[in-house]
This record gives sequence, C-alpha cells and structure tokens, in this order.
Amino acid sequence: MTQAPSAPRPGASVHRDGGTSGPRSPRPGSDDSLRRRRRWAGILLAAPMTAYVVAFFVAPLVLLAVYSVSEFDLLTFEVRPGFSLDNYREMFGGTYVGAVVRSLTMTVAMTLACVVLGFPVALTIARATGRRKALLLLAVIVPYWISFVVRTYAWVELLSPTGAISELAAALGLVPDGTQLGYSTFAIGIGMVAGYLPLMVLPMFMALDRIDPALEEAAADMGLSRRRTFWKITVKLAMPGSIAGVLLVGIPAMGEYTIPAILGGSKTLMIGNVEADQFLSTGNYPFGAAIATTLMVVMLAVLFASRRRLDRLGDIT
Amino acid sequence: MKRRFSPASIVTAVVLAFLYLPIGMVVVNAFNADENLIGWGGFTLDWITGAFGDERVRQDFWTSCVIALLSTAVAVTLSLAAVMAVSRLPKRAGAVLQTLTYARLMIPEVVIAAGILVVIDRLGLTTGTWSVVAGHIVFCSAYATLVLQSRFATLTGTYDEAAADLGAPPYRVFLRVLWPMMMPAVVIASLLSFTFSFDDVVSTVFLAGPETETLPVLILSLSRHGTSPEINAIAVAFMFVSLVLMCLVGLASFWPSKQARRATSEEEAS
Repeated sequence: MTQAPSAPRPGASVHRDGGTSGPRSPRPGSDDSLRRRRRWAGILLAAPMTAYVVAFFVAPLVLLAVYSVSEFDLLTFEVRPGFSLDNYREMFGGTYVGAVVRSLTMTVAMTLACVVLGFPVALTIARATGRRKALLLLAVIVPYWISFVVRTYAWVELLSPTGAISELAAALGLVPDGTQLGYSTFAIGIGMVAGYLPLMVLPMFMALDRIDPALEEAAADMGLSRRRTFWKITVKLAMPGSIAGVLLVGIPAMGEYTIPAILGGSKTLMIGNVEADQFLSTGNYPFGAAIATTLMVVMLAVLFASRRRLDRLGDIT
Repeated sequence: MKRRFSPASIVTAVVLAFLYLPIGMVVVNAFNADENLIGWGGFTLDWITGAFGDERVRQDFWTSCVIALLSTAVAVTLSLAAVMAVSRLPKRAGAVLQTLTYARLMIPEVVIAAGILVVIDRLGLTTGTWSVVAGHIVFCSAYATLVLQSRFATLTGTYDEAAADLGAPPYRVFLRVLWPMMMPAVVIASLLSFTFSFDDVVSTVFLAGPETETLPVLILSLSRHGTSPEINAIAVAFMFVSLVLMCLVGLASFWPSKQARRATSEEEAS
C-alpha cells in the first residue's frame, strides 16, 4: 500500500514559512498569530482521538493493573482494593502454569516454523518474474484476506478422525486409524502456522525483492561458494524483513484467543483463553487482570525495544 | 540457479497446498449433499439456501454490518482529525500519537477488551452493541491512522499552507484541497477498518453481552461442537463477503496514482 509521493509543486514551497515578506501578508506580526492559530487548530483536531484513547485504552489498562494487585473474595465475588502479589504467584505457580508454558513454547515454535517455511516461499516469489511473480504473491496474500475464523474453523474438519490429514497420517502408519488430531496442542500449532504464515512471507519478500541480483553474482565471482553466498548475502540482506515478520507473527501469537478456542478444545488452553475465562465465566477479575497485565508489560517491552523497526512496518499492514 | 524445481519451489508448492487445502474443503463441503461429510454425496445448494434463510444467521449478519459501519465511521473520523493535527503540534505530540497507535495494535486484544469490560463493570453500565463498537474503534482507528498518515505525510505543510496563505478559510482548505487528495486513503482506511471489525472475534466475545451476537462469533460458538454442512455454508458465505471487501481494498490502492495524475492535469489546464 505504498503510495507514490506526490511531489510538491515548485511554487508552493515559497509560502512555506508563513510568507511574511510576501505582498499577501495581511499585517505585520501575523506570522506569530498564524502559528498560534495553527497550534490551536492542532489541539482541537487531536482532542477527540486523545479523549477516546484515554477513555477506552489507557484507562482500561490502568484499571487492569490496579485490579491485578487487588484481593478477590471467592465467596462474595467482591474485589477489594489492596496490594498483594497473590494473583501473580498463582499464575506462575498454580494450575495454570501449563498454559503459560504452552503459550511461550507455542509462540517460539510457531514463529520458528513460520521463518523456516516462509523464507523459501518468499525467495521463490522474489526470484520469479513477470506474471508468475504477481500470481505467486497474490496466492500468498489471498488466504490472509479470508476471514480468520473461517480459516481456523477449516482445520477442524481436516483434523477430525475422518478428515483428510488424519487419514493420511493413518495411511502412513504415523497414528492409529480414526485418531482425533483436533483439539490438541498439535492442532493449535497447525492452525497458528497456517493463520500467520502470510504475515511472515510478505515482509520477507519485500526485503528479498530489493536485493540487487548483481550482488549475488559479484559474490560468486569473488569465489564465494553458493552456500556462503546464500548465508552471507541473501539471508543477511533479508534480515530486516525477517525481523519484521517475526514481530508481526510472534506478537499476536502470544495473546492468541481464537485459534485455541476453536482448535484446542476445552483442555488445551493458552494464556489468552485462561485470561478470557476469568472475565467471561469464572468471574475472578483480579486473577484475569494479573495475566492481562503480564501480557501487556511483555508487549510494551517489545514495543519500546523495536520502535524504530516498527516505523518501517507502516506500509505493510 | 535456473533449475525448474529448486528445493525452495517445492516448499512453496507444499505451503500453498497447506494454505488452500482447508479452505477448499470447507467450500466443497458447503455444497456436499452427504450430511455426515464422510464422502462426496453429490452437489446440493440446500445448505447455502438454508443458511440464508436462517433467522439467527440473518440477524447476526445485520448486527455485524451495523457494528462494522459504526466502528468505521467513528474510527476514520477520529483518525483523519488526529492525522491532520500532527503537523500543527509540537514534534513530541506526534511521537506520543505514534506510540499510542502501535501500542493499540501490539497489546493483545484479550487484554484491551478485558480492560474495557472492567471499566464498564465498574461504572455499572450494561454491555451491548455500543460496547462492541467502542472496543472495535480502538483497533480500527489504529489501522486507519497508519493508512492515513502514510498518505498525509506527502501532502501536509505544502498544499494546505499554500491555500491558507492565499486567504482560504480553514474549512475551504479542507474541502477543496485536502479532502480530494485524502479521498483514496480514506477509502482504503474505511474498507480495512470495516473488514477488521466485521471479522473480529475477541473484542466481540468480551463486550457483546448476552443479547448481541455477530456472524464470526456464531461460527466460533457453533464450531465448538465440531463441523457440519450448515456451518460450512455460513462460513463460505461469510468468507465471500470478507474476500470481496479485501479485493476492493486491493483495487483502491491503485486509485491514488490515477487521482494524482488527474489533479496535476487539471492544475495545468486551469
């Protein structure tokens, strides 16, 4: 979605600095009042968005953080103000430690799988030419355009005991006939890779596509082996795209709700589902808030660590 | 390097099969007469007509449309104003806006939606369509801001200031100068934000309450009991809508260049 920058017309730049010396300047000293007017216009224009973000984003997050250290009465369902770290202790030591571990390992494993599968795809598209290239690129983008719920739901069928994947695995002797592959950690993993892979391929492709083929030829001419050319030139120059892909894929994966809700069944939960249950069925808001606050802090840390990279992501999303 | 089947192209073929196989199965089975979906039982349109005739499906479809329209209208208006404000404010204000935009996209939706739910609970309000819209605006406006500011960055500080210097009042600067140039980006931002709202599950699950249900949430709750031809039919119909919307986004992104060309030719003519 990059747009060609429209070049400013030569005449326009003359007036940029307020035009104090020009014949159209209405009265002396208008430069200052103009600037003040612009400032006020800016404040008025920014006010609605600021108010909205404060009311529906900042305030909710602050309240969650406050709730996370509050106490919860299991009998009366009351939230009492106070300060205790019990909710955090329960998260890392209690029944839900499995979900925490699953979320972390799934995110890492899934992101790695997307890198390993996505790079060859991006490379193939970048090296294709003409109509073939456009078609391949479209083929990767179109699944991303299809509703996320539908794409995830689609796997339920394939992984069911009579589904194509289960039958293929049974025919290969990997699992007994009629095995339910769905509603498992494996199913969540498949759903996540399929769901997020396009987001990995696109930035990788954009980086690979910018590499000048002459560089690779030059490296080969200088006596670098094919394998070393691949690692030292292609992989290295595609790194910004790969990192962007890792961010685009890994960040939503950590707080994933939809995929485990559809493909995980009731037993295999990820941390996002445990959190949602606290708010939607159990009613233990402070414990849910502790999970939410932890997720929030992790993401904010990633955000501040990668802010400069994110600035360049604007034209991908 | 000119081999026809390099390892990379084999991986590509496998990956594409992996991406399209499940969707293909859903589409095929939406027209499969075999009720248990074990084999191919012949072609039928019963499931599709059944889905369109179902009262709950129709109700949910309209709810989804209303929520997506309202979210988009508010989100794009807020974003357009905010994007225009940036050049008029100190640099640091722009940086804060930028950080808040990314933060809204990076903090998981389960966190933001839960926070809004707690606020609503604290204030003693009831959830419903309005709270879903309120939740959707949070992320829709972040996407809209990203789209609009990439377009606005190329315009601001030249055309609008020039027009103002020539004596045009602010509303005319906006209507005659900025709006025509922003139109393509506004269209893309609106389509994107409609699609994201239309397809959203997480915020809707948290904030809808018992009375409100959207189509993707219906698919989610039905799919908990396994698959059925009925769900396949609903899924295919829903998928078709989101696919059409995104194709429009794709087409709209070719629009700016044309618009810009026409603008310059008009300028030359006058």
